[in-house]
Amino acid sequence: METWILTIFIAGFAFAYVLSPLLKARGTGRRGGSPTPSPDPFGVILQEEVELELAAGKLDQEEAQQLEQLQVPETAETDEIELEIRARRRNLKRR
Amino acid sequence: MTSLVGSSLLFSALLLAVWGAVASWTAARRSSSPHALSAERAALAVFLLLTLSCVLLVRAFLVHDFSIRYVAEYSSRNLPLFYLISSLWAGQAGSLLFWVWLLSLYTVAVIRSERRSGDRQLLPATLLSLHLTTAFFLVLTSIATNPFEPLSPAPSDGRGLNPLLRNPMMVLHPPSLYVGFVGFAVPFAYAMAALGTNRLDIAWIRKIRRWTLFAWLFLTLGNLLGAEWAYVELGWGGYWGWDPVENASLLPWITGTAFLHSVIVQERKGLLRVWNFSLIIVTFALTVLGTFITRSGIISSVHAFGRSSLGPLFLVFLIITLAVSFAMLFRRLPSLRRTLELRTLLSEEWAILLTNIALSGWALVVLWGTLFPSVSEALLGRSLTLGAPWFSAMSRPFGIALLFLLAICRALNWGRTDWRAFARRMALPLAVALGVAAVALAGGVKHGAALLAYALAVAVLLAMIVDALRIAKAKAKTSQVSLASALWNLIGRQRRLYGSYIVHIGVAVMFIGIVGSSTFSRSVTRTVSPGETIDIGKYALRFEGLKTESHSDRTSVVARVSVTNSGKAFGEMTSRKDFYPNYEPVTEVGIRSRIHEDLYLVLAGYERDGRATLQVFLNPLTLWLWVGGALAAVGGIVAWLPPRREKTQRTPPKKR
Repeated sequence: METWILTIFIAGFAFAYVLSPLLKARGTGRRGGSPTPSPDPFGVILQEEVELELAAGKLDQEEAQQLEQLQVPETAETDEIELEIRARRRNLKRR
Repeated sequence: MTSLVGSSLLFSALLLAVWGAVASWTAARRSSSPHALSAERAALAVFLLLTLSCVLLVRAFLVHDFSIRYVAEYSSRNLPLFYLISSLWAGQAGSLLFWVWLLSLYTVAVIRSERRSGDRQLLPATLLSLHLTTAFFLVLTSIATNPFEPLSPAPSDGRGLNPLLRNPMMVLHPPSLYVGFVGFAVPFAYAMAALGTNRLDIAWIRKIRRWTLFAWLFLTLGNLLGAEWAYVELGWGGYWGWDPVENASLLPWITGTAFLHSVIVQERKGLLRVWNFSLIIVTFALTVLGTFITRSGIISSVHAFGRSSLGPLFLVFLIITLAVSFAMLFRRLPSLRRTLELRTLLSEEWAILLTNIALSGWALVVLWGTLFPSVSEALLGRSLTLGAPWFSAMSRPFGIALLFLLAICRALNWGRTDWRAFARRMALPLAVALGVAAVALAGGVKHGAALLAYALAVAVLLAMIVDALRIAKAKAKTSQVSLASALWNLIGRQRRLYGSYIVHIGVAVMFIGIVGSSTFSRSVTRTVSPGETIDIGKYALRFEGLKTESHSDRTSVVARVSVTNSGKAFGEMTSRKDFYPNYEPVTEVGIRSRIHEDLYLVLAGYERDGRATLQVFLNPLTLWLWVGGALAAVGGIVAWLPPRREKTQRTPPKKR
């Protein structure tokens, strides 16, 4: 019994902290949104690695170009578009 | 009071973790910032509550509060401070508390890292997995096996720490393993977030790179420390007995290593996307399976002190995790499939793919051998165990294949490799490797597999050095600096690449130690009277007699042996049997380690008339296993460290 009383006491304090963003948002009506991402430093490192491999004769230009294309992030939307294109192609073939 | 506060802290943490999972789910579904922030705060609160719990339990050990059952079972008044603190993870309840505390620390670190990166799109879904895993472990630690369970009446002294755990290696080995095991929860959580949110590009791969490397690094260290502990503490002359619990920590290491390599193919070629998701799911599942094997006691093990009734709970968690994860992966299959574009077999992506196949095959063999006693019991009604020779024989082809791939991979290009360029790059490593094999053969080494392994290990060493220098030369040429300066600059900037060179050199050195000690080890067991001698190799060990020592916590019977090497004095060695109250006697071995071999002495038994049964091992090249392991760890640290920033040239302000 004592354990539960103390648990309610501790959890109560913790939940006041944890739930405060929701209570504040209700007051101001704030929702959604994400901050703008900063550039990935490891992308720069990979680019340097590729340049070194090109200079050392370990990579050809074609591979380097393919790699560059891969670095463009796909979004959920582009995937949806890709799926739709595939579905349309399948429909066309059937016709 | 400690029991009351500790239990309340754990229950509160459980409630918050459950709320964290609900808030993360809502945030991920509705893109709701307030819910995301609430989930992040829940993670921070769980971490703070669990930190307080750990501090409370350590304090209970320090003040000898034997009204806590866990403290009474795993410590005593005469235990040194060092071991009193490490008693936190000496038993199951404390281990699980430590485990979940580490998970909460990882969760807070992930939030911090995401806040710094600015890209928090995957964070809510990532937190969902982490909160759910935390909640599961909190259910275990707060309900099933509470470390704050009271004991009434409190005894005047505790049972003491298991003598097998009274070893500095054992103080470091479990935390290292836990850091590694728990660490794989982070890449797994990111993978689930990528699948859940349909962000299947390389964003999640980039995010998990350092987390995976960190977990792998500590798993490597944990396994090495465990091997060292087994070598000095278990007294059977070896360091890896293919014990189920040893295998349980080796399995995620193998699949984690495969994952570290296959993500490079995804990063460079956009391939193996389904494979990478599968590998990280399996790796995480294997960390849970490892805990299940340790805790369930379904398979007999040297880690029998870890047994409990928690096995079924782990099994349920494991099945749910696998079912949900693979269902999510299956759902995304149409978006993930890419056709494997094969330009030529002679390419780095193919070498990595084959490395993955070899590592996965090895993992399957080890898993099969580990679970075989349970499988045979279920099918045949009696438990059959596959011994260390079976594991060694089955692992050998995989080891040779991996060494071969390691030797050639850095001479290969991405995409396609010109045969002549490949031959030119491999000429020096191959020539030296053949030379080493010829010298070894002339020196009397007739073991074919060992000769091949040594030749390949030397080829790996040279191939790595040659490639590192080739890249540095290219850098020196393009930047117009000296080779040394280019190399220094690259180690600071291209840490992943140069760290990997060091890791692979370390692995080759480890192979030299493993092959030497496992293939050419020999031993002699004899019962001797004082003054009698045991001969092994060039060594003669003269048994000087037994003596009894009394310590505050134990009584020891010590066997003293004076050693000569080719007739010259080589000092004295001792081995002893320690008798602790409440525990079985344990043996402490004597080891004289040299560059080319270890002399290893075990007091196997003794008689009242002063005779002793001594077991002496001569283990060649064992030292190189530890040296290679240390190198691999250093390489892992180098690869893990963030790249050094390039110095930007400041332009002086224009004078007006």
